[in-house]
Amino acid sequence: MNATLSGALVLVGRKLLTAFVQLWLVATLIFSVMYIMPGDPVLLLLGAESNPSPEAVAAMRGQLGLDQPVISQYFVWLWNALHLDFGKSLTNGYPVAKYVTSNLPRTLELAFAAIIVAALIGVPLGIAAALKRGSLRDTVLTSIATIGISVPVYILGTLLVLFFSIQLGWLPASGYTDISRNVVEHFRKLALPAFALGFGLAASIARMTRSSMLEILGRDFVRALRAKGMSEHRIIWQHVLRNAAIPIVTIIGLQLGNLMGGTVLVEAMFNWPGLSTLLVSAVSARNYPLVQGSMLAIAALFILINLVVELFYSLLDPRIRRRRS
Amino acid sequence: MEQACGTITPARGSIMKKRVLGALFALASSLAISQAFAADGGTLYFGLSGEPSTLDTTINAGTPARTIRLAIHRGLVNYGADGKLSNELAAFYDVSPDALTYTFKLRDAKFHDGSPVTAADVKASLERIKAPDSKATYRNEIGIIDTIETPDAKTVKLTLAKPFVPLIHYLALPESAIVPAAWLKQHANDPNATPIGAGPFKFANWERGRELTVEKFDGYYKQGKPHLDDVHYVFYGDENTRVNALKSGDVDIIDYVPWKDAAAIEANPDLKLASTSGPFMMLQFNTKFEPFSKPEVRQAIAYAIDRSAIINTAFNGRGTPLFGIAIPEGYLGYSKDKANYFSHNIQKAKDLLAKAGYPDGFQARLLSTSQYGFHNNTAVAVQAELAKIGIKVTLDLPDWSGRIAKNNAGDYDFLVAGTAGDIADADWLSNFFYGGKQLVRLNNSAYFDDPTINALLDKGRVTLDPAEREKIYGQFVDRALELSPFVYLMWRDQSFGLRKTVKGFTNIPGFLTFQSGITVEDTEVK
Repeated sequence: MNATLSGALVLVGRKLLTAFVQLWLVATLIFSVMYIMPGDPVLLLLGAESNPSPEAVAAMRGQLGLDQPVISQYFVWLWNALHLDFGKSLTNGYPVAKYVTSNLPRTLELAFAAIIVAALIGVPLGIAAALKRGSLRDTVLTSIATIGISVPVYILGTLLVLFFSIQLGWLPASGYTDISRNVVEHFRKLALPAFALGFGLAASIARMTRSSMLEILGRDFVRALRAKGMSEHRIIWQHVLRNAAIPIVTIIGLQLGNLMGGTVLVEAMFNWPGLSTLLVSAVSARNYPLVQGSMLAIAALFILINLVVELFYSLLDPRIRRRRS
Repeated sequence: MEQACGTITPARGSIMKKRVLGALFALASSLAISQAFAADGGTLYFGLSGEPSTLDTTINAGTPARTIRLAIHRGLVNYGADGKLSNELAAFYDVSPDALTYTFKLRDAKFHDGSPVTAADVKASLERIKAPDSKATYRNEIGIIDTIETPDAKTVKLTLAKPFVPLIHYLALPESAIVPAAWLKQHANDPNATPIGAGPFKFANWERGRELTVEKFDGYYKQGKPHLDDVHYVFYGDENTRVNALKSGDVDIIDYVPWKDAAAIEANPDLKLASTSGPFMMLQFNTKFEPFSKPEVRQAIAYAIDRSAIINTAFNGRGTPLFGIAIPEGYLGYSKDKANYFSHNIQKAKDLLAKAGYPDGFQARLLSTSQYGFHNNTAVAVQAELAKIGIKVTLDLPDWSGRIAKNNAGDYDFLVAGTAGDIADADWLSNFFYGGKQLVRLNNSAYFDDPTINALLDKGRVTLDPAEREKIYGQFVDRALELSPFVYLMWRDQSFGLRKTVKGFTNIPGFLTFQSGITVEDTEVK
C-alpha cells in the first residue's frame, strides 16, 4: 500500500513538474508571438480614430512600461507571474487576475453544462442503438451521431439561433445574465450555447456507448445471466451499463479539453462572457498582460484537466497504475 | 384607440349623457395616444459593435465609445438630430466680428453629482484638452484657443490669436464635452473613475466585457427628457451575433448593420432600418513609394476602378459610386460638376500610367484588414480592378490593430480606408490633406505635403466671409483632384437596425452618423 501511495505521489509530482514547464513554454511562446505581431496597444488606447502626436504616444508608452526593452519586459513579467502577480490590464489598470477569476467560472459552467447536455442526449441514444443493433433505429441513430460529430459548432449554433430564437422566440439569441440577478434568465441564456457545444460530444458519447454496450452484451457473463433467467431489463441496467460506463466516463474526460477549445467559437457566437471572449478582445486590443493571463489560465486549465483525467484513469484501472510504478 | 372607441358605442339617452361620454371618449383617446407615442420610462437595449477601450472624454476611441459618451456628456454645443449645431450647455454664444472672441453664456444645467455647470468647469475641461501633455484627439484644433476667461460663473470668453472659423464645430464634438473641474482634479487620469457629465443619462454600471448601463438623470436641463429610465449598451463584437440579437428581440437597436443583413432587416415586419450615406471608402497612398509619388499614377487608379465592382463585392450593392472628392452635397466645397471628375475609363488609366513611365504596370502592396469583411472585400475588389491595367497588387491583411499600427507608421504602399469627416464644416479636409509637421498620420496619405493645398486650407480656416470661403474650397477641390492624394471609391450606407417599438432615434445624416448616439435623449420604447 505504501509503495503504491509513494508511487502515486511520484507520479503526481512528475506530472506537476511537467505541467509547470509546459505552462512556462506556453507563456514564453505567447509573449514572443504577441510582440512579433504587428499592432500597438498605445495607438488603440489613444483612439483608433485619432491621429495621436508622437509625443502623446511616447508618453503613454512610458506610462505603461512599454518603452522598456522586450526582453526586460519578459523577465519582469515572468518574475511577477512566479509571485502570482499577472499584471494589470493596459486599458484600465484592472488586475488581470480579477478578470480571469470573473470569467473563468463562466467558461467552466458552459463546458460542464455542455457535458451534461451531451451525456443526457448521448447515453440514451447509444443504449437505444445498441439494443436494436442493425435495425432501422440503429441506422438512423448512428447516422445522426455521425452528422453530429461532423457538423461544425458554428453551423449548429447558427441553426439553433435561427430556429429557437428568431423563428420560435423561445430562447434568447445570446448574452449572459448573472445567476444572482435572475436564475431563470441565466439558464435560458445558457441553454443554446450549452447545446451547441455539447451536441458534438453527445454524438461521440452515443457512439462510444453503443460500441461499449455491444461489446459487453457479447460477453459470456451476459449469456450466463440470461440463462439464469434474469430479466432483460435488469441485465441491461444493472450489469451491462455498469460495465460499459468506464469507457464512456473516460471519453467524457478526454473530450473536456477539446470542449475548452470549442468554447472559443461558442462564446463568441453567443456573446458568452467567458475566458475565450476575454482572450479574443484582449488580442484585438493588444492588451498584452491580459492576453498572457487569460492564455495562461486556459493552458493551466487544459493541463489540469488532462492531469486529473489521467490520474483518475490510472486509479480506475489498476493495469495502468502498475505499469507506471 | 380601438378600445377607446368601444367604450362609447352604447352611448344613448340624454344630451348630457352624450356630453359626458364625449368627454370621456376624448380623455380616453388622449390617454391612448399619449400611451402609444410618449410612453415615458422603459429600458432600451442598445447592441454596440464593440466595447470602448476608454471613456476618456477627450479621446475619440471609435463609435461605440462616442455613442455611450453622448448619453452621459454634453458640450457647450453639440450636433443635433438634424445635423445642425445646437446650443447645449451654452444657452447662447456670440462671436466677435473679427472672429477672435467667442463669448458663451451658460444655461442653468447640473452635473450628475448635483453641482451646477459653471464657467470654471468649462475652463478646466477645455484646458485639459489644450494642455501640452494632453492625449486629446483634437488637441491641435482646440489648442488654437489662446486664453479662456471666466468673467462670471455663467460666462466664458475664449480668445484666439487668429481667426479659426471652424472652432465652434470642434467644440461640438463629443470630445469637447464639459466635465466638472472638481472631478477632473481628482480623476482626470483614472480610467476607472465613475464618469460625471451633464448629459441626459448618468453612468450606472460597467460590466467589463458585457454591457454598460446608464440611468435617467432627473436633473437634465431639457424639460421632459430623457424619456427612457435606463439604457443598456450591450457589446457585440461579432456582427452576426449582433444582428441575431436584434432579430430575436434581445436588443432594441444595433449599430453598424452589416450590409449583407440590411435587406433582411428591411423585410422583417418587426424591424426597420435607419440608413444614411455619410462615410466613404477610399485609397490612401504612401507618396514616398515610387509609382505612387506621381499624381498621374494616382489618377490612373481613380480612372481604372469600376466603383460598382466594389459596391457589389463588399457592400451588397448598398452604396453610391464616388468619382470625385468625398464632399457631401450641401457641404462647403461641393460642386455638381466636380462630383464626378473621374469616370471609369480603362484606356485613360492606361494612358496615364504610360505617361508616368509605367506602361506595363508595377507591383504594389495594399494594406487592409481581414478583421472587417467590408475592408477585406474592398481590397480584394481593388486588386482585381487594378490587375486590368497591369498593376499587380499583393494584399496585406493583418487584424485591425495591426492595420492601425502599420497605417500610423507609414508601413504601406497604399491602403483601404473607410472613414468620414469629423465635423460638418469644410475644415474636416485639413485632417486628411494638410501636410505640416506630422507627415505620417492615420488619415493622411503618408508624406503628402503640398504648399498650395496647405495654404488654401489655412486660408479657409481664417476666412470669415462665406462667399470667399466657398471660393477657397472650390480652388482647393481643383488642386486636390489634380494631385489626387486619395482615390475615393464610394459613399457607403451606414445603418442602424431598430425594432419598430423604438421611436425618436435618428441616424444623423452625412458625416455625423457616428454621433447619432446623442438622439438617445429623444428615444422612446413602447
